[in-house]
Amino acid sequence: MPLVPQRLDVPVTIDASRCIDGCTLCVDICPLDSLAIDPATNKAYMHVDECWYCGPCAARCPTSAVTVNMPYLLR
Amino acid sequence: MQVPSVTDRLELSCDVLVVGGGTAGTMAAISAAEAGARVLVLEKAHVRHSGALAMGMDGVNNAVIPGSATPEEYVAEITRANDGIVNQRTIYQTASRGHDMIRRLERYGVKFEKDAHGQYAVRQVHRSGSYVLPMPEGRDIKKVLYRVLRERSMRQRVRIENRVMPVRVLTDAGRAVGVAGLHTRTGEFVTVTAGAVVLATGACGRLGLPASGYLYGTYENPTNAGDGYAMAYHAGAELSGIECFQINPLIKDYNGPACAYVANPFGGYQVNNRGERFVDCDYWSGQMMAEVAREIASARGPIYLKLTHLPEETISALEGILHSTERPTRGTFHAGRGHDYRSHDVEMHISEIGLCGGHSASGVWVDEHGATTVPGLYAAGDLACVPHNYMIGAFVFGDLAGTHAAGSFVTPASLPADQVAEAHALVYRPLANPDGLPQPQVEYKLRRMVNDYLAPPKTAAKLDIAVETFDRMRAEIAALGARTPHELMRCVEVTFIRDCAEMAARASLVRTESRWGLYHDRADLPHRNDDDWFCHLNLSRDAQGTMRFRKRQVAPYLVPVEGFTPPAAGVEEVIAVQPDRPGRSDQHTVAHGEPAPVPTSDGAVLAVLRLAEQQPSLEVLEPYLRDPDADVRRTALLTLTESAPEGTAPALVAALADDDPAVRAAAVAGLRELADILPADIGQSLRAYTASPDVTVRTLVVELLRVTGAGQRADFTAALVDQAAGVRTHAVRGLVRHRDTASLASAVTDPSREVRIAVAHALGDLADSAAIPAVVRLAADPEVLVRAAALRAAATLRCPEPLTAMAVAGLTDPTWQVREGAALGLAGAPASVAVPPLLDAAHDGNLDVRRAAVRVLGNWTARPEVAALLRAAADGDTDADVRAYARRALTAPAPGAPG
Ligand SMILES: Cc1cc2nc3c(=O)[nH]c(=O)nc-3n(C[C@H](O)[C@H](O)[C@H](O)COP(=O)(O)OP(=O)(O)OC[C@H]3O[C@@H](n4cnc5c(N)ncnc54)[C@H](O)[C@@H]3O)c2cc1C
Ligand code: SF4
Ligand code: SF4
Repeated sequence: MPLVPQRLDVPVTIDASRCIDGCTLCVDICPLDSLAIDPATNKAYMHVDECWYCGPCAARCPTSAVTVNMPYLLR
Repeated sequence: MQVPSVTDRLELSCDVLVVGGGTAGTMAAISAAEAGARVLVLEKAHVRHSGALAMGMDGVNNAVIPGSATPEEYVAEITRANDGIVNQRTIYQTASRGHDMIRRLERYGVKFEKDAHGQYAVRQVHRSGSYVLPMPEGRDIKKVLYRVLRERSMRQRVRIENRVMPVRVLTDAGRAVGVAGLHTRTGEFVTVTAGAVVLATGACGRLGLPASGYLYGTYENPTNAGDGYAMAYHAGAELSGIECFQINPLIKDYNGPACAYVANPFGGYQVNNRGERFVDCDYWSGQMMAEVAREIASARGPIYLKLTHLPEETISALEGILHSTERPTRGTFHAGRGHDYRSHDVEMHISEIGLCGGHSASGVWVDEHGATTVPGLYAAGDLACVPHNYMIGAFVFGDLAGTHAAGSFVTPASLPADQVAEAHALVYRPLANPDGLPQPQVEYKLRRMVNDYLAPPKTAAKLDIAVETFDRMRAEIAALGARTPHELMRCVEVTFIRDCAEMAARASLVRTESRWGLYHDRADLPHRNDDDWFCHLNLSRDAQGTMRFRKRQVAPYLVPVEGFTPPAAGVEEVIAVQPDRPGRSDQHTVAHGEPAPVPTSDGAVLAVLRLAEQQPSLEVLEPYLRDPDADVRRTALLTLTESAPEGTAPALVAALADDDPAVRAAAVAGLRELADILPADIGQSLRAYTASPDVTVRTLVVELLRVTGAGQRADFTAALVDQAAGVRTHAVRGLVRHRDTASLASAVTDPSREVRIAVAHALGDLADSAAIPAVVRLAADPEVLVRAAALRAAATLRCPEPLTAMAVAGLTDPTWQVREGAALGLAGAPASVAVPPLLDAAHDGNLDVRRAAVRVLGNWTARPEVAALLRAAADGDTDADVRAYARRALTAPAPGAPG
């Protein structure tokens, strides 16, 4: 089966300029394991569009780098 | 990634294994460890923020607190709500142990709302029963449990493995001996040898597809895909009431609770598009959901949670709760559409279907210790069939199961190799097929079919198609492809969802009647058939892989309930259906990029965050608390609050003097969070801050002085003249405890409306006749809401003159709030004065005024004119609340004072 590259609007965005190099807190706690560290930049990002918009990632980030928006389909 | 061989695996062992570190699981682990067992918790997410309580909870739905309700009342309520099909012994556990559990949680540091006298502030949310205990600060509950689990004494006995997901329970000679699963980050194969297994994996939240079409936009936490249902089923355990689906009313599209339980005590309610309350049912049930669904589909749809009529302060208080706990993104959602509680009532809808023992009755069959029909296997929380158990029931049954498992585990000799191999095949099959069907598409289709053929109203013809569809989809699921451990997790979840869908379809076919309102609404068999179906319907998988159904007799009731009599018939085998087809287990090796190692840096913030996982002592954190960088100090305070070592309280109090407002705010939040476990002598050190220039600090100080009981009368009289209204409001509440009518009366001229309202409520609470002049003054206040509160307070003061005259006049005030307060106040007046004007008020154009009038008139049903009015209202009023209160007044044997 061919892999089709598709653009998706993902709900959680991370301000890379604020994300601390080496921190993994939001990645550690997301119940859906939807966040990851980008090996190229060492910053957190949303690696799959799987989100309960529950918010601990944003609430716990020490530098307020995380924004949780509504998934587009619910907005 | 490569497929690991069956033997290349992480092997763990323990006495008691807890699968799922949510509400029930954390409590099961704590209790099992306290009973002396070596405990292992496997959690697919991270215990700190997993499960239904990921962001806390805003109330206890079913607290049975002495003085507000009795265990017998509660058992009867749930028996009625579940149309008689309950094992009352299990419900009785929640009823009789809930109060102790609340006190235990409070000792751990969880906060529940207290009234001005320091008693649990239980609310009557439904028309029958007072069981709702608000937790306006409930956002910290999971944090508290996590802290308890990691205390030194616990850590020696409880091992937590996050991101490990069991997929099958292993059995030997019919007894549970362990589990097999995978690490969802590394893909490693994991087996556990255990003396007993407690399944606490929550609801099956990913069964129906939400109307939005977003796979993870479910009512339940979507991590809970039905894992435990599938695991229990394949282990041979009985499941019960699977045809009794979970469906909840919620904010449309947002798909989270509205939450009426929070809004209701503040004056919010559900209405149709005509502004009428329409729910006739007195308690949460499938019947109530049927009324909601019918209303939405009628000419009176859609429906709304009405809040726009509330004053600004009430709305901001509500926002403070609704936008910070349970589902804190509610605010983001409304803001995104430009909606606001001040201008827009909240459109509501019903959720997709799910399976949940804790909300309805679909779950794993358990006895009153949480034991399933498989020896050594327990189920607790939403997974277990203990109807309407909710959060407190999850805690109670977690405790029961953990304790029982610790007292009866049997260490197994070895694990069954064939079952380990089958579990291995189940997990890794998609890796062999990296170009196979993608999980999102397969899951979307499966769940769309669930909506089309399984969601009520059900018919045999639709359910037949459902069974055929879910059977056909086995092949599509076998063709799933995956490349990463994360995808493997999602693929195996799809098998759980399919298993649940098949169980739900078949069980719905077998129960040939309608029951539980919307939950099992068979449009082709619309009537309840107690002759044939006053029984549990249990299903299980036999050794040949056949799904078998049996009727289970409803055990004789502990508490008799009018209208329900369990028949004394025996157990009957009903039906057997097709066997499972075991999946292919061929595996290939697949290449993939390993995740890069996480780099480290030694920033001080990072260092503190790392410490958080190690339960640091105050000494270790001390240098960070003094760091010149405010971000570091703030993070250190958060960590300190989270782990709460010896000496935390004084350190937090000291930080109230920090120069940086964000650091002070962190100290304030920490102290508020730990309020219930602060040392008794905290009052002295807090007093040093009563003159802090920071109003949030001063507010916190009075609040803590009040809630810890450390405050003296003088503390509150001093605070009563603070510049900030918030501080003065707390002072008012503090003075109630000291029964200081004179000081409270001095505040009737306070410049803040909110303070004057608080004073009116306080004087009503104290019911001291010395307060009458003050209440009279408040009843003539220029502000509507103050007058309304004062007139309402007149009720407990027996409504003497001139309050009687003011209340009678108030019934024709242009504002509905004053009319409502006046009606409630007249409850204290003699019937001869109160009844005539209340009879008029019962025809008021405002539904809340009519409701108040009807409730108060319920005190005088012996008077013929009152009885006649109530009869007319019970039949003819357009408002469901008015109808219901009139009905209740007419049937109540001895009318009590309205609450
Ligand atoms: C949005 C919402 C609001 C609610 N509001 C209230 C309320 O106000 N009052 C009230 O009393 N009740 C409320 N409830 C109900 C209450 O929260 C639940 O009944 C209770 O928390 C259920 O606890 P549990 O342990 O069964 O499930 P959870 O707390 O959900 O725990 C299940 C755990 O199992 C883990 N898990 C799942 N599968 C696996 C697997 N295969 N392997 C390992 N781990 C796994 C999950 O990650 C999770 O941590 C609400 C529920 C929801 C969803
Ligand atoms: S918690 Fe914040 S700082 Fe840490 S990894 Fe996530 S975004 Fe970056
Ligand atoms: S909102 Fe919840 S599910 Fe979404 S990324 Fe954050 S923690 Fe994960």
